This record gives sequence, C-alpha cells and structure tokens, in this order.
Amino acid sequence: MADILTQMKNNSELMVALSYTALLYNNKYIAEEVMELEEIVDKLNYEMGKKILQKASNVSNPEALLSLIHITEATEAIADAASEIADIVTRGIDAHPIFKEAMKETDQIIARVKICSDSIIIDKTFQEIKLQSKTGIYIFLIKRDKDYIYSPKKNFTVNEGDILYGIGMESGIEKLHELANCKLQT
Amino acid sequence: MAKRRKVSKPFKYNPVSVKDLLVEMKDISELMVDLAYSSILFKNKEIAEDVTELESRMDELNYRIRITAMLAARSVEDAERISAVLQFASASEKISNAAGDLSNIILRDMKIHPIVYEAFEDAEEQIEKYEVSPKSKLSRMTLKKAGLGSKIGTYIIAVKRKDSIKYNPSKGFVIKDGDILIARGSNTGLEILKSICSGIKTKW
Repeated sequence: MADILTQMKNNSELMVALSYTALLYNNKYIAEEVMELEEIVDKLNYEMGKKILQKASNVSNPEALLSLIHITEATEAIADAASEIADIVTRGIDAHPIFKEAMKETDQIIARVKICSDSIIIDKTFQEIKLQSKTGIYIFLIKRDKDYIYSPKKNFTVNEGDILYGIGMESGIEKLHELANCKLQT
Repeated sequence: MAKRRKVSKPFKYNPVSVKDLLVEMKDISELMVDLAYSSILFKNKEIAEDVTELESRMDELNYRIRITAMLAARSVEDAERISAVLQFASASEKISNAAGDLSNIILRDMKIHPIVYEAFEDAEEQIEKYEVSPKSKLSRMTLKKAGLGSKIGTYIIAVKRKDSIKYNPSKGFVIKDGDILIARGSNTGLEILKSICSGIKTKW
C-alpha cells in the first residue's frame, strides 16, 4: 500500500515539472508524456481506494485511515491539475508567448534531450562523460522506452534513444543538445 | 484554530503584468506543495498555517489574473490565447488547494497513518532540514554562488532564521551560519547537502 502511494506522489510531482516544461517549449511530446502519466496515476488512485476500503473493514477504528484518504486525493488532484496544464499544449493553442517569458523567469529550466544515433555519449557512463561538470546540468530522470529511471547513478550507461531530463542553465542545455546529437524536438 | 479563508478583502485594481502574475502563481503553488508535505513530515503547525496563508494569496492572484485577462481580449485570437492563461491559473489554483488540503491534516490534528510515512520515506523527492554550521563553506555565501540546484540537485525551499522563515529565497539571498535550510531533493543530493552544511564537505 505504501508503495502505491509512493508512486502516486512521485508521478504527480514529475507531472507538474513536465507540464511546465511542455508549456515552456510548447512541446507536444512532453505534454503527451504527462497524459500517459495521468492514466497511470488514475489506475493507482483506484487501487489505493480499494486497498483503503479493504483495510477499513478490518480495523476497529477506521478513522486513522482518513489521513491516507486525504493524501491520496491530494496527489490525484495535483496530477489532474498538471494534465490540465499539459492540455493547453496538446490542444494546439499557440501557447501564449507570455508562458515562455514567465517560465524563463523561474530559476529551474528543465531540459528534455533525446540521445540520437552517433551521439558521442552512447554506451558511456555519466562518470566517464563528466556530464555534471561539463554542462552544469543535473539529470534527474531518464525515460527508456516505457520506463522511468529516477536519479540515475554515476555508473549509469547512456543508450541510444534514452530521453534525459535535466535542470540547469540555458547555456548548459545547449551543450547537452550538442552531446546528444539531436535537435530540439518542437 | 478555526480555518480563516475566503475572506474577500476590498480589491483595488491596479495594472500588473500577466507575466508577473503567472510567475508568482507558479512559484507559490509549487512552494505550497513542498511546504504542505513538510508540515506533515515534521508535524509542524506553523508551516501548515503558512500554507493556509499562501492559499489566500493564491486566491487574490487568481482574481487579479482573471480581471487583467478580461480587459486584454480584443479579438478572437486574443481570447483563445487568454483562455490558455486562465486554464493555467485555474490549474495552479487547484494545485494550491490540494496543498491546503494536505496541510489541513496537520491543522485538524488528524492522526497520521504510519503507511503515510512509509510512503514518503521511499519517495523520490525528499524534504530535509539542516542547520548551517559556522564551519560550513555555505556560511556568507549567496544561493547563486552555492549553485545547489544545478550541482547537486537540491533546492532550498525555505530558510529559517531565528523566529522568521523566508520562503522561496532568491538567488541573491546570503546564507548565514545558524540558518536552518529546508531543502528538497533526492536522497543522494540531500546527503551531500548535509555534509556541506556541517562543514565536512568543502567542495561540490
């Protein structure tokens, strides 16, 4: 049960970060990822509801479960709100240039970089590339096929097709794109 | 304490840029979620009350953005774009309401189920607080120079100094020894921050 709630919390927070990024770059791929995650969170929410009800029938004082209900609901609400933000992008409204300006003013610029063929960092570990010190970008997530890998370690080996998510400054993000050998997807 | 909310203050319209309103709404809603989780984690009512206060600030911002948006539409195209701004504003208000619900758990003295703590412990994003030792290199350093976000992936969401708490400190904020940093990040990053705060780690 705790693992379901952990996943809900992880996903809802990731969705918020990704939805802002989708808005900043007016990027449909990222917006679609938010929508995929939303489906996952919906399923988890359902599972969690079932588990709470089962537990409630077995305990004499179900009041203790109230906190669980509230927290589950709140993470679900946050996930919903994130998909509403992503929806602005999927709907194809030419995102108001104001979003771009607004997102740039917050300190955390998030980069999404796909590793394309012939990139010089394929089959290398983070430690070998010295990604952190070269670009100043902190990679917090990697998407490999359908899987999400959080906080990759130093010995993580980069594959072709991996999608890296990092936080840092604009200049470092350009450098990261060069290393990945991929143009920004728009 | 009774919940103080939705007390509408007299509102005077003065033009603010929509961009500034959006930035503030985004920052406050994110901060509120972090604070709400920390109020539960540290069982701290002060933080939970601050979340409630920020919630009313969000209400006001939402009101302002709606008025500004309505005044700005001159054509169908304008209206389409502005609808996007309003959708964003309503989504960040939803996030802030969810944060308010989280902190209410603490304000209402609800008993917190152990599964909640078990779940939070395994979560990717963690929140911790550390005191800055006089030996720490962080002492007298600005947040910009410390570069904790891009170097170790931890973010300072609040700084507690004596009796006051500074939320969302800016890049120019100067850290002092004795400050208590409330930080968000992965376990690995927070472990590094811990040793930076205590002065064991001097380079990062």
